[in-house]
Amino acid sequence: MSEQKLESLSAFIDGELNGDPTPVIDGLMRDEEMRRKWMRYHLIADAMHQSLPECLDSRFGSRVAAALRTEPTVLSPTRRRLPAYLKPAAGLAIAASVAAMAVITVQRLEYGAQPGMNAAPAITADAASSGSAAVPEKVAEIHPINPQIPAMRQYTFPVRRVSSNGAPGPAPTLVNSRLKNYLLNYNAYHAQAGMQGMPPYVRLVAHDNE
Amino acid sequence: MRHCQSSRSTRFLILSAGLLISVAVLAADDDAMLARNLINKMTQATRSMNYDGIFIYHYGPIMDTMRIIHKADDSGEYERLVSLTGSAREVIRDNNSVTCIYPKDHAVMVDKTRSRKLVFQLPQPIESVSGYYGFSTSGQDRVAGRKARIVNIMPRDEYRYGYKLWIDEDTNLLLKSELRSRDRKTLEQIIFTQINLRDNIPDELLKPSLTGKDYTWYENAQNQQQPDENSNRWRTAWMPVGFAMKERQKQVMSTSTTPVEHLIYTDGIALVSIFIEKLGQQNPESIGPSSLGGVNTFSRLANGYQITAIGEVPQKTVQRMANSVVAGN
Repeated sequence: MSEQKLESLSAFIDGELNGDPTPVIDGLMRDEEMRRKWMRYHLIADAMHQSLPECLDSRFGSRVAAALRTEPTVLSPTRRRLPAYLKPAAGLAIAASVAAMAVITVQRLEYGAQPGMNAAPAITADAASSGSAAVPEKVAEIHPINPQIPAMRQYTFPVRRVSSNGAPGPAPTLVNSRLKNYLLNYNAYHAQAGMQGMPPYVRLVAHDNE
Repeated sequence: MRHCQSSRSTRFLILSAGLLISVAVLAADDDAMLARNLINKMTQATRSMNYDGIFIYHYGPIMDTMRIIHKADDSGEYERLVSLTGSAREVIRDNNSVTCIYPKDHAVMVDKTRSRKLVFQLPQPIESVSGYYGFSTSGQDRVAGRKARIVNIMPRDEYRYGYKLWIDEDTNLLLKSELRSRDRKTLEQIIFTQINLRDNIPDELLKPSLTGKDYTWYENAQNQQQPDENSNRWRTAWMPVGFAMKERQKQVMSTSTTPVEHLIYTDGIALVSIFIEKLGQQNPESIGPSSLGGVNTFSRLANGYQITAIGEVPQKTVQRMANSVVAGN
């Protein structure tokens, strides 16, 4: 990366960039190396301002993805000898890997889907968590804007399932468009009313990258 | 004489202690008032100013950087939110529609929200919410190279979340924000790293960076709200103290063959939506608890209906709310 690029990135982060920030932003969107620099600069700044959270792991997502890629998939777990206190956690881990598999399966189906197909298989969150992935089900009708393109598939996006005590769940699973429509609608109200501790729709953007 | 002296000094002590306490109470009241004023100004500034900023979103293992471009003029509010990490997801919002672009899925979702004239404005006169939240300020800090004042909103019971807000001293824009549990743990946060005020925002900045060509477009085609004729069909038997219904709608959604009933509740700070949808041929979906960052949802089935509560409140609140929904008067 050129010296000048680094300088503008640094100035940009410090809020001292004179002129158009577009090249820097475009660079950030294209360039993995530049994104890593961005993360490091912020980490340094946070450390200097002593505002690091207790736990911060920017590679967490990619490490989980890498671990899942290399891990032999255990679909029918054999009984492992574990201390009794570890057992529920092991169960969760297995459920997590099954749920994540289901997500990957569906995404592949989505990539493979061509306009003109009426209904690609979609799975419900319940199917994902019980491990019976890729069960075709009736797809709710979605109205395409362009009548040339028929309704193709149920649009899905991940919402984190949580345990009943409210702790974040082990892995994101799919939630179909009903809950997504509700969330869009909730945000539409929140955008116009309510105290905004956060710009509306941020969560819909942030949580779609998992 | 001696006795008289002592009683006089006791009286003096009591009087001055009383005075001190009332001064302390007054100071706390003043501080709460200052905090509330800052929140009102922030809400106003966020909606009425032109700005272009970059912020980091952090929730559990998720960290994302986004750019927000906001424009406000006589014709209304325009906003573009674009993720700078991973795939370039975008949300573009104007007066009557919201467009979500998901490049990874090659999909565009359009939600036509009729320009809403809300009958309620928030934050409401804060007197009405001080029973459920405590307001205070806690000094200054520096965020995105700007001076900020810190405002705390503390929930008074376990059914609400708290907030810590860093508000720009000059512009009153929100520079950093934390959603907090009642025991003051940070659950979710955003922090601006840069924010620029602009006299005007060129239209190009509000256009999506992707053309949406070769994408599949979905539209909530008839997403209109209709006044509810049958207005006492559903009600909630339980709400945390302070939550009141502010609006009731029937909404046509692309995922449902029948209009979905939508009840909107607020305690003056937090907003909770309850959706009641009749299930026909469709299957029940996502029953139980879910969350999207600081927003919790809970869904259950009742007599062929799916009942879902969604809000920026703890999971147990949406759960109890959803469970308390009953049919009839």
